[in-house]
Formats: sequence, structure tokens, C-alpha cells
Amino acid sequence: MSDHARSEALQSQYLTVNLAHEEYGVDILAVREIRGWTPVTRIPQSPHYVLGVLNLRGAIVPVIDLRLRFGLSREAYDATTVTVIITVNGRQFGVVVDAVSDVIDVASDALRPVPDMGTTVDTEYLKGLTSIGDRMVLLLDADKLLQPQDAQMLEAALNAANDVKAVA
Amino acid sequence: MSTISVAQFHKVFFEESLEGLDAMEAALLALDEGGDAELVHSIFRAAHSIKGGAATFGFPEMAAFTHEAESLLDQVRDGRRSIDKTIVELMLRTVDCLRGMFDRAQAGQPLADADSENLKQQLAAAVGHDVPAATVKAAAKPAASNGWIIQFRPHAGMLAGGNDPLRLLRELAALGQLVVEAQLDRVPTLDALDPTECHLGWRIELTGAVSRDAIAAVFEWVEDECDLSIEPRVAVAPPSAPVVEAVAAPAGAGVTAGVTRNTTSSNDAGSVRVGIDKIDSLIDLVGELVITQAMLDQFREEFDPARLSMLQEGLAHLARHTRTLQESVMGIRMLPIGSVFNRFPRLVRDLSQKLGKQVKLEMVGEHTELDKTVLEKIGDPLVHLVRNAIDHGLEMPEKRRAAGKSDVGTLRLEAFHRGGSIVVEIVDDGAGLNREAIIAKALQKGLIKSGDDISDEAVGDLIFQPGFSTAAVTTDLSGRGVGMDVVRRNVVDLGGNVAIKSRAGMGTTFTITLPLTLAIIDGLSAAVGDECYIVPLVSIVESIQLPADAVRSVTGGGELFRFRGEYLPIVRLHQQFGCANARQNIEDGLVIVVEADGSQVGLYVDELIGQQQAVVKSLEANYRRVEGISGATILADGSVALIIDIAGLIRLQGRRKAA
Repeated sequence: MSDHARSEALQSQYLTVNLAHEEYGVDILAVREIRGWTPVTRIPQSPHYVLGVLNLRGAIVPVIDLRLRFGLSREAYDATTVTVIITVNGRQFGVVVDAVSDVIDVASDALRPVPDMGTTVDTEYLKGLTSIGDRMVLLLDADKLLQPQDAQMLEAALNAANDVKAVA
Repeated sequence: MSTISVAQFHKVFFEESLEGLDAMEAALLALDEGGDAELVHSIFRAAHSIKGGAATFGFPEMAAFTHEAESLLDQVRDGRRSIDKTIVELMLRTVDCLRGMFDRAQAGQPLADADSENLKQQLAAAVGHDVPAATVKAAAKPAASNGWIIQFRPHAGMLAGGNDPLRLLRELAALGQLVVEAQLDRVPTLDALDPTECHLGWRIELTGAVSRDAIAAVFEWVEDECDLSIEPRVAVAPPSAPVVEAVAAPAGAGVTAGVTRNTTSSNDAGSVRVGIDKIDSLIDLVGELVITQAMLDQFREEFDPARLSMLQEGLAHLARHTRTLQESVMGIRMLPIGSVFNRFPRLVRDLSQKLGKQVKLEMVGEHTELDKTVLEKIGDPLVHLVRNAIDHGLEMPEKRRAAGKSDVGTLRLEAFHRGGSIVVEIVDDGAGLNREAIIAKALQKGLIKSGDDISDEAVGDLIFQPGFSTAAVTTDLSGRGVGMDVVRRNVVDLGGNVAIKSRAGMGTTFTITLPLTLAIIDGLSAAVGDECYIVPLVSIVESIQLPADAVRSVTGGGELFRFRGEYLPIVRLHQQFGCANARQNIEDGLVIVVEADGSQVGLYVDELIGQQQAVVKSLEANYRRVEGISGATILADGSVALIIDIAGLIRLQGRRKAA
């Protein structure tokens, strides 16, 4: 009983998505919803991987293309292309992937560090990898995808520039 | 043993008390100009509720402090004492002091400080002064029962005897309220420090009716191992330089307490008080909506073309209710500007006293409602303008008399609706702008060239230039370091503008125009390639179609066109924003003349789609700020359109050209 409870506590669930023949895992607690691909409104002055924004029930949510984010070529969007809406640190954003595939349980001791090479992806967006049967799943670090740190720093700088010291 | 935490009520208590303080202040100022007994009652009531609340919610220092103020007010209320300037002054300072206490309470810091203690003594002295029973002796005596000042200097070896100063302080704290000040002057440098010795000393202020013997008893065991003096506290506690001050802090914390805890107020979400009538009307509207929905629902089952008119009627109802609902919901965010105006009577009173000027403040249209966000941000610019008006605008009484004006200068604050905007005017009947001095300053700064013909408007505009300090032109009140350019920028950030009108010898009028709300704007939607952008209607001057030959290309790739006698640059939106499939030839598209920050440009777009109200949504909430874009809105088809920030776009274009 207690053994069972402990293994439960150490496990986390990941939603796996397909991208350029690789399988990636996103922490399921960060996933808000999965929706089919719909066109978005482009935002000027944005990195190329930010496709634009969409209307998520009244909230304006940026959408990034994971292929472009990882420096891969962009495929045409088809019926299986989906937008996964992720919430990190109170911010929502959408991630466009080729398809969603599965929900997997990963015990924390099954998490392996990412070797420095051998994947098509820059390792800084990964927090580890694991194997399910003979499949390898790369686990994404959702925090880093939109680089909210950058966004916040930029915002802080802008605010500082515009911040007007209150009239004494 | 479960206890209900009162902390959850603190926020409400703070809010209500701060409102009470505002009311107290307003009533005091009214009293200052000669008021009736009802005002005294209202001040008393406010003080009484604060005292009661403070005691209930665990702020004994605040309760004790307010108690003194209340006693004084009680005497006034009973007619035992007549109200005079000194009392009003004292009570106003009490209000300020209480505000300070609330600030500290919200930040979780100790409430009492040297000022509050000082003021409390003054209040107590004022109360005691007129009570007949209090003999002349009492004036010297109250200190005896009011507290003690204890100088406690342990000898270096005291700790070796097993005596812990912390325990002594705790025992003292049990006797009454303590203000402990650690004296660090004997603490040696780190390399010379022997940690087994005691180097600290304490100056302790003990408030409360405590006998000397009781204090002496606390120090009984250490008498021989320390220098100790116990003296009755004099009525006005000297606010000695607080080296390290901690209220009832244990000795060990003496040093660390010097680091002020800078707890930022975390619950910054803010709240709005909404009138019950507004809520009732909302409920009515929602009821109507439900009825309309039920009516439209009938058509889901079966559609009979004969009932088409009913459907049309239903849709018309739906449209009307939605619009009214939208207006009502927006109305919840609207608050009367009086809440901002309220601070001015006090400000004007204090400032005019300080400067020796006589000022009559008139306020008109306090009930004009403004969006809460606008309201919060307009306060500081208004304060600045009012201070400027009193400091620079209005003259000294002698000077006014010499100019044939009444001694008392008039400052008028007025708020009213005009079109879809709110206008706030600050009018003084002072000397007006010093045209010569401003021009001289502008010449010196290189803002204008000598020989330029400067119109009055242009002179007014000069003072809004960044870095244009009026300090050299007229007296400056203090090193505030904020200029009129900041006022202008604040107002522009809110989507409004400031205008100035001045006549020498007659006075100056500042006119601030503000949008009713920031949440909804009127805009024109414009197509650029496959995309759609919203241009805020307020910035649009005109839209025109230009023939190809009307555009001059200038060196550096810029394009100019002639508009009402002036050459304006063209900003091609598709270039700035990188839109695909946009029209390239100037004669195929439209040029919208827009204005921001006083400059005009022609915005080249493919075509106009139509006018619409746009509910402004933040891009920053989930993404970040984007230059040239002020926000986003959702179109009728559910897609997102971006709203253009004209000022930002002009800056962007300027930078791109420079690069």
C-alpha cells in the first residue's frame, strides 16, 4: 500500500506529440487544451517562430510553431496538425505540432539527462528523455519555449523606460 | 482550540479606515473655514470607528493613538473646548500619521514610530490642558504615569553570569509598550570582537502606568553588572536619532531590525465599490437577455418563414440588450472624479500657507465619472498642475493688489463631458505664462532660433518640452525633478492630451482631455494585404486617396506628400509590419492622415473596411509588448485584429529611417 502510494507520487504524466518523426513529451499539468489548427493573426516585430495570436475565448494567446522554434523546416498544416495550449507561470501560449499521440506515465527515476548531441533539437528546451518500450521520448521544458524570461525582461525594460516617477 | 483569523478582514478594515480618514480630512478642512457641530460629529465618528476597528483587529498602538485624538474630539464635541486653528492643525497631522500607520500595517511593519509617539504626547497634552481637574502640577506630572526612559548598559561580563538581556526586555515588554533602541557605539570591530562579551546597550522607552519599583525589580539581578538609569519620560519625547530602532524587539534582533522589511504589497489586484443600483440594473438587463434568448430559441426547433419578422425583432432586441449590457458593465469601472479631487483642498491649504499666498479653491463637476484606470493615473499629473498653478501661476497678495486683482487668487478645477471625452480644466487667475522668460530659456536650450516668430500657442507648447525646467523662469517649490513633459506623457499614455491657454496678467488654463474608458475604443479597420488592423479613431485626421504624382521621394528613401500646406511623411504599413500581398502603388490604396504626439503622418493602407468599436485586449498578458501595436481586439468572426499605436509607429518609422 505504502509502496504503491510512493510510486504514484514519483510519477508524472506527459502528453506526447509528434514532430518531425520524433516524439516529445509535455507535462500534462501544463496542458490546457488541444485544438485543431486554425489560422492565427500574425504579429509584427516578432521572432519567426511566433506564428501570431489567436482568440482563446476572449484571451489573446500567442502561438509558436515548434518546428520553427527548433530550427526545422515548416511542413504544410494538415488535418492532424494541432495547437496545444500550454499554461506556464500564468501565461498561456499555443504550440503547433504535427500531431498528438499519447499520454504516458514517467517515473522520475526513468528520466535520463539529455546527451549533448544526437538529436535534431537544441538541448536547452529539453529537461530530459525517457523510453517507453523501444520508443524514445524527449521531454520538453515548457517554460523555455516562449522564453518568458526574455519577454519579462523586455517588458521590465520597457516599463522602466516609460515609467514615470510619480509627481512628488 | 480553533480561532478565527481576523487577518482576512484586515483589507476591508484598511479600506474603510482610509475612507474614514479621507472623510475626517475633508471635514477638518471644512471646519477650518468655519463649520458647524455636525462636522465635529462626523470627525468624531470616523475616529471612533478607526479606534474600534484597530482594537478589534489587533493594532493596539493604533487604537491607543486614536484614543488620544478621540478624547480631544470628545471635548470639542461636548463644547468644553472650542475649535481653533491649532486643533485643526493637530488633527490634520493626526490624520497624516494614521495614514502612515495604515501604510505600515499593510506592509506588516511596526506601527508606531517617533512621529506618532510624539504626536500622541501632544494630543494627550492638549487633552489634559483644558480639563479643569488637571491642576497646574499635572502638566509636569503626567509623564510620571506615562512612561519611563531606561538606559540599560550591561557590563561586558554580564552574559557570563547567565543573565540574558533578551529575558529582561521580555519582562519589560510585559509591563507596557516598549520602544527599544539598540546602542551599537561600543561594538568593536569584528577582529576585536569577543562573542562571549556583551557590547550592546539599550535605550528603552516604556509606555504605560508602571511604577519605578516594578521596573527596578526586573533589573534586580543585574544591578551590579550594568549601568542603569530609569527616568520618567518627559511629555514630548525627544526623537533622538534612531540608530537602530525596533519596537519591542528582542535584543538579538537589534542589529538586523535596521534592515527595513520592504514588503511590497502583494494583493495589488484592487477592488471597486459598486453602487447597488448599478448592480440591480445589470441584473435586470441579464433578465432581459435571458428572455430574448428564450424567444430566439424557439427558432431552433422549427423555422417558419412566416415568423421571420419575429426573428428580426428578436435579433434587434439582442443587439440592443448586448449594447446596454456592455455599457452597464463598463459603468462598473467608472468612478466619480471627486475621489481624485478630494485630495486638493488639503494640498491647496498646505501649499498656500507655506508660500504665504491666499488661494480659493473651486471644484466643479466632481460627479463626472471616469474609468478607474484613468482615474488612478490622472491623479499625479493633476497634483503637479495644481502645485504649478499655486507655485508659479498665482502671485503673492501684494503683487495681486498692485495688478488690481483681489488678494485671494482663485484656482478652479472643473471636470465635464465633451463629446466622447472627459475634460478636466485647471484654471488660475494668476500672472499667466512668462512669455519672455520662456522664450529666453528656449533660445538658450536651442529649442527655437532667435528671430523666429513665436505664437502664444507655441510658447505654451515649449513648456511641455523635455528638460524644459521652469526653475530658472520662476521659483521652484522643491527639487521635484518632474517637468511638464512628464505630465503630458502621462496624459498621452492614457490616450488623452493636454492643452494650455494663457493670457498675461489674466491667468492660465490647462485643459486635459481624456477618453471615457480605456477598455473600448472607436476604430477604423483597415486592410493591409491579407491582414486587418484597427486604427484608433481619435488619431485619425482624414483619409485621402493620392494620385501617384502627389508623392515626392526624398533622399534616404522617405516619401512625402502635401497635405493642407504641409509636407507629411508616408508610413507604409505593409513595410513597417511586413505584411504580404499588400498593394504597392500609392494610387491603389488609401492614405490615412493620423496624428500623435503633435506630429502628423500619412498611413498607407490597402483600403478601409469600416468603423467599429473595439474591446481592447492586452497582448502583454500572454505575450509581450509589441512596438507599434497597442493591443488586440476580437472581430465579429472571432479572429484577432491588432490595434495600431500611432505614436509607437511613428517612433518605429523614425528609427528605421535612422538605421
